[in-house]
Amino acid sequence: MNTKQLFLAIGDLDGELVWMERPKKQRKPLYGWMLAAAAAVVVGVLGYAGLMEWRGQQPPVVDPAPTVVTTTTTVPSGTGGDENACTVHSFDYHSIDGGLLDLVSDEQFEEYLQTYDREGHNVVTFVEYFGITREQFIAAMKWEGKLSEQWSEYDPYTHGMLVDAIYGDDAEFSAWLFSHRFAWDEDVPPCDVLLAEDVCTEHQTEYHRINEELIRLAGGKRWRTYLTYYGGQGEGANILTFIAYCGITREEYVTAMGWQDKLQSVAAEHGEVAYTYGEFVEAIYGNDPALKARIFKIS
Amino acid sequence: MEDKRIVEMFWARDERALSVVRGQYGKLCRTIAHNLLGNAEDVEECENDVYLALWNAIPPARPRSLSAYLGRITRNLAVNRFHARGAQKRGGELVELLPELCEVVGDTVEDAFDGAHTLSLVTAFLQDETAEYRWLFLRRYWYGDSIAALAEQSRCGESTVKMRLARQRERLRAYLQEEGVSV
Repeated sequence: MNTKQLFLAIGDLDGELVWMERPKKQRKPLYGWMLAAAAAVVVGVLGYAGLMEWRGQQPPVVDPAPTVVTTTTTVPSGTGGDENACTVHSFDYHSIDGGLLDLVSDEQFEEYLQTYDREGHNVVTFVEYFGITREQFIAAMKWEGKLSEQWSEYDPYTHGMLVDAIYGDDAEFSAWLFSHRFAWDEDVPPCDVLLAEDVCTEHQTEYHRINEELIRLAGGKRWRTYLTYYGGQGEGANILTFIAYCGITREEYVTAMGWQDKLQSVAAEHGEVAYTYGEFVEAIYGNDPALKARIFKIS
Repeated sequence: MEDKRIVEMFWARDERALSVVRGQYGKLCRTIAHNLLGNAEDVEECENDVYLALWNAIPPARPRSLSAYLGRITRNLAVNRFHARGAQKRGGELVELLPELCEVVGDTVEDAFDGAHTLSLVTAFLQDETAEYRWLFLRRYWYGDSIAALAEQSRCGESTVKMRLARQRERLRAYLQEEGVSV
C-alpha cells in the first residue's frame, strides 16, 4: 500500500462517518486534566481520606435532597484515567457526556477533577459525586424510550444495562460491561452469525454460517474487518472467505468446532444428501468442487 | 432538493442538475479543494472538473449521499492536480498531509491491496478509535483541515493536535502492519 492508495481509501469512507459532528463530551477545557494531574499528586501524598480532610469540605451535590440514593459499583482499578491511557475500561466508562456536564458548573467540575485521580475520573464517580439520580441521568442523556435499545451493533448490552451498571449493585456485571470494549478477543457475537441468508438462494445455510467459536478464534477485531469488507457482498460472505481471510488452519477449525472425535459421524442431511463432519471440513479446505457443491449447494 | 431527486435528474440527463449541485454542494467542494490545494485558480478548475466528473459518473453511478460522493471526487481530483503541479507550485494542506500519510504506509509501489480492502481496514481502525479521535482523523485527512483550524475547533494548542495526530498515525501504522499490510 502506498500514500496515494491510503489517501483515496480515506476518501471512500462512509458518508455517515464523514459527516459526524465533533463529540460534545470533549468540549470541556483541556486544562482540567492538568489540574487533575496536580490533584493526583496531592492524592498520592495525602491519600484520598487525607485529601478530603485537607479540603475540609464535602462534595457539592446538584440536588440538595436527592430522593434516590445512588449506589457505587466497584469496578476493578486500572492504570491511567482517560481514553488514551486506561487499558482496562471502555471509553464510555471514562467519558462524561455533555448532557451530564450541563448539570454542573465549570467550577464544580474542576473540583471533581481535583478530587479523584485519573482512573477515578469516570461516570460512576461522577454521578456519585454530584448525587445525580438514575432518573436525572436518564433525562440528561436523553435516553427515555431508548433503555431497551442495544448500545451499538457490536455490543451485547442495552442502554438500560449501562444504566444498571452505573446504579446497580452487581459489581461483576459492571466490571464486565465497562471493560467490554477493550476485550477485543471477547468482542464476538454471542451466537453463530448467518451472512447473506436473505439474499442467497443457491447455497445451504451452513455455507453462510460463521460459528461463534470461529469468530472468537479469529478475534473480534479481525471479525469486524471481515464484516466490513465482505459483509455486504452477498455470496462473497461465506465460510470459505472467512476461513481464508482469517487464516484459520484445518486443525484450528476442527478444534474450535469440537469435532476432533466425530469426523466420521454424520453431520447433516440435505434431502437425500448426507455428509460427515470430516467431509464438511474437506469441503472447506480441499479442492474437490464436486464435494463442495454436494455439501454447500442446494440441489 | 433531495439527493435522490438530483440523481434522477442526472439519470435523465437534465443539465439543470449541475446548477442544483453547484448551488447545494459547491461550497463543500470549494472548501475541500481549497484546504487541499490552497490556490484559488486550482480550486476553481478543480470545482469545474468535479461537476464534469459527476456528469460522466452518473449514470451509471447512483450514489446514496451526493455530498460524500462529491467530496470523494473532489479529493481525488485535487490529489491528481497536486501531483501534476511542479513541486514549487504546490500549496495547500496536501503538502503536509501526504507526507503525514507517508509516515503510515511509506511510499512503496502500489501492491495487491485493492481499494475496497484498504477502505475496510481504515474503517475498522476508525471504529476502534474514540469519537474524538475519529473526528480528528476525518477532519484532517478527509477534509484536509489545517492544524491551526483543528486546534481552534478543539480549543487546544497546535502542538497538542500535532501530537494527537502523530500518535493516531502510529496506531494506524501498527494496525495495518498487524493486518498484513507492508508498511
